[in-house]
Amino acid sequence: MNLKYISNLLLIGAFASFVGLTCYHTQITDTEQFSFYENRNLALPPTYTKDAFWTGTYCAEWETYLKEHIAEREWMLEQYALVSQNILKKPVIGNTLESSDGKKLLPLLSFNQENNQDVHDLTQEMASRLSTLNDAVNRYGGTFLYVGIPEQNVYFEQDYPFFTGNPKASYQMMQSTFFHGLYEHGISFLDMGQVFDDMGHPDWIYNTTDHHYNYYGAFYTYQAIMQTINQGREQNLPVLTDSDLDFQTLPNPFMGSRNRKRFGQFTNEDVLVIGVPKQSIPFQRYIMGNEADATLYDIPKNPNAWVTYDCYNGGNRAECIIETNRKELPTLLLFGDSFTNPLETLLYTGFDKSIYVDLRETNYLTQGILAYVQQYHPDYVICVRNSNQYLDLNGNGMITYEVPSAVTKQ
Amino acid sequence: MLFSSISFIFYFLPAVLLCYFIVPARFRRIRNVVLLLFSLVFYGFGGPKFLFVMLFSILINNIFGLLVWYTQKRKQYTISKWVLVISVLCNLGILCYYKYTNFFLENFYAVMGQQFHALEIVMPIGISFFTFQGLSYVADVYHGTAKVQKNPLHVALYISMFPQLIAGPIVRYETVAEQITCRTESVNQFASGLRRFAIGLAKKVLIGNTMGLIAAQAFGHPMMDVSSATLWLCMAAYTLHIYYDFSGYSDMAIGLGRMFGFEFLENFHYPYISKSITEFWRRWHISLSTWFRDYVYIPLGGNRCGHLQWIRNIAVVWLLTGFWHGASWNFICWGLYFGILLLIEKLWLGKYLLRIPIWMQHIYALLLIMFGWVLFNSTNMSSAWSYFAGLFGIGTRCLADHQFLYLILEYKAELIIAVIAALPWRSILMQHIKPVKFSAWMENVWILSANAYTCIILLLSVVTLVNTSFNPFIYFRF
Repeated sequence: MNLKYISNLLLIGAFASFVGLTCYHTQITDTEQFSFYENRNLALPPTYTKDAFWTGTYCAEWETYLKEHIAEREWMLEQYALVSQNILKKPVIGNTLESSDGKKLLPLLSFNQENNQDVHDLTQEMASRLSTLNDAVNRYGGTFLYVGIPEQNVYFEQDYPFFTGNPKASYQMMQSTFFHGLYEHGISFLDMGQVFDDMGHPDWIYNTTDHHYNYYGAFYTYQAIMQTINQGREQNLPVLTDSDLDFQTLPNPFMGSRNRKRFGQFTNEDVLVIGVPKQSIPFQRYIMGNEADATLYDIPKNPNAWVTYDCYNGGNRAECIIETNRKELPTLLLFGDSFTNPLETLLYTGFDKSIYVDLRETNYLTQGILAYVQQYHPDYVICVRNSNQYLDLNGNGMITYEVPSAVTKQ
Repeated sequence: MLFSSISFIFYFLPAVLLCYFIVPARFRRIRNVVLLLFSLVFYGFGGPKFLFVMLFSILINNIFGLLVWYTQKRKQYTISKWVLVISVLCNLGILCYYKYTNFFLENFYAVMGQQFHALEIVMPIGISFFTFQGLSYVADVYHGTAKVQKNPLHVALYISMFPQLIAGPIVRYETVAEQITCRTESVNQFASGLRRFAIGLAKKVLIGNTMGLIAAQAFGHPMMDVSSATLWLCMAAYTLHIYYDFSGYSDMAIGLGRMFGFEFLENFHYPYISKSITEFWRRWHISLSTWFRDYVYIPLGGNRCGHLQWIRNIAVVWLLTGFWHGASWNFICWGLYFGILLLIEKLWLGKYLLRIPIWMQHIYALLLIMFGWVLFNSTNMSSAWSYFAGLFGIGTRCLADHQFLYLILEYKAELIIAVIAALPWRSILMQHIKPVKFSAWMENVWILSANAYTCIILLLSVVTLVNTSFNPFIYFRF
């Protein structure tokens, strides 16, 4: 046997081992149903139907299943991101890119230019929907407030690298059109972008690797909301100041949503901070009508486990109600996307009853936002949306959405 | 099932290899049966109902082959010729029904000024390839270049053999007739096949798919959304995409064939180093161009006829070449485009081309090839014209934009590798380096390095495959 023969035998052996071990390992370790990095459920084994089998769909679905359940998939995803980032030096990985200072992760935006007419039409539709809600709230003497919060990439828009161009002009056109639309429809709004600018546009109130603000950003938003509410009241509602809160940094490593898309390979200094009132306010918490633990943070028991933004009030929920049983205080209905999550851990302190709704969770919702208004007649209704969602008519833009009767009955 | 899929690499391939090699080599027939059964499973994976179309094609070609042989044996040459004609009509009839019915009806209705609702005819995967192989079998038997195969399982194996079943290369019967019955498998041959398979997989997954991602940024998008520079880049990327996609698949097919002891002919030979369109078509999809040359062009008279007849022959071949690729006007135009270019080169331009510097010849050929791919990849003629206009700044957003810059920065490594790997470095080096006789030691080092390289690219390809959802295969639909 010459060396060539032995070498070829080794190659065949290596290939057989690679394929065989991967298959075996896949069979014995295939227990994962959820992909942490991708934040989604993995594919289920395909269901056999005669038609699916006959047309080839059944077999094609097996490919998707096998691809998502192959042994060491997570390791492969990490290595791919690592090679792309450190060896191939790709500026964009998982649709996220490094900011010009190399410290933040920002999303790659579309290169297509905004159409002014589309922006105008969407603004009119959105403002008209919000106006319907505003009228419904005003009718019984309540107050409606729209709170707009810049998403992380908008807040750091000056940090986009040279090759993407600066999205500032496009964003400003959209924002000014939208806020002007709200103004024309007589809707009170709070532009947190302006508030943060007045504070000197500090970097430290936003995460560098997550699309949300951090707890400090949420805290200042909370204060700005309460300040706006109190401006219209004879007697001020209680507002927490930073001396009323014990800001705690969790020991767990933080996984931002943008770093998730890079499979955790971007080095950063983000941490997760929570605020605990020094003087506790007892409360009951109800998730979808069922009493739940009276906790505001979903913190992993293992201090080395990843912690994400979902820690705040357990992440997105269709409905969460917090009651503090202080009848002298008003009722709050807050709806919006994930930017409300840390706000929820603060706002309850100023109200008797706080109802938190996320209209994106249509699978779990039993009624639309107008029905909530009719049911509770809350003193304050607040809509919180991030800048990338201002013109999104879906999700929390579905103001006039009514849950189909079949779901309501359930 | 795609070769570049988890189900193939980790499940189908090990299963077929295990079942095949567990049978001792002396039981050649059983090995062939194993290969045939797995080939049918492979094809059935894409939809068992289409299996019947292929089995029908196998059956009729088997019968026609026997009839041709029988009539020729009895010196009934006229009947033999008619059998061949009927066989051609039957094979093309199947192909036309599945591939071209909607196209013909759509155009007929358009001429009549009536609205047409497409019929629900799903084209079986690889029908163009296995139909041409079936035709090749009957024609080779007719011309006497191959012996008739009396064992129907062997004909079935020839037509349905999974390595070349769905995307070629179009293996001609005379090439593998002997190999079906007497071939040898060896460790060295298997390893060589594995190396070739890994190279093909890497070409497809690591380079081809990435080039496809770039190309997708412009093709199918409104021209107002992109810049002219992006259009040029995407056209170049598509040029590389189709090469790595298809030649990678051919490499995998050749490699897989070699693992089972078959030697298929090469399908690509560095097509983008061509200095003319004539040369390009000697290097691109060789199995298809030689098929048309031997089974259409030469029977029509080739170039041994009058000038007008020769022009007609070329036009017919290129019309059919275009039409073979797809039932759409842009494919027909693409075929005719190359037919016209070839005629121009042969009649007039060829002699002038030889007088200009070589680098200019390369640019000339490459530009025309790239323009051809724009035609090929456009959904219709109007989008092709928009693309051509956009290349010269008409109708686009601007001449260059940030998207262009982003694409260059994002895919710089892949673009450089794609360009370099499309060149025949080994031949270039051998031309400039004094021929050195490899010592046995050097040869061993070479083979060890090649094997290590195979392992690395195989792993990289699998990791990439798991990571990306973009895994198209252009020639799959043909």
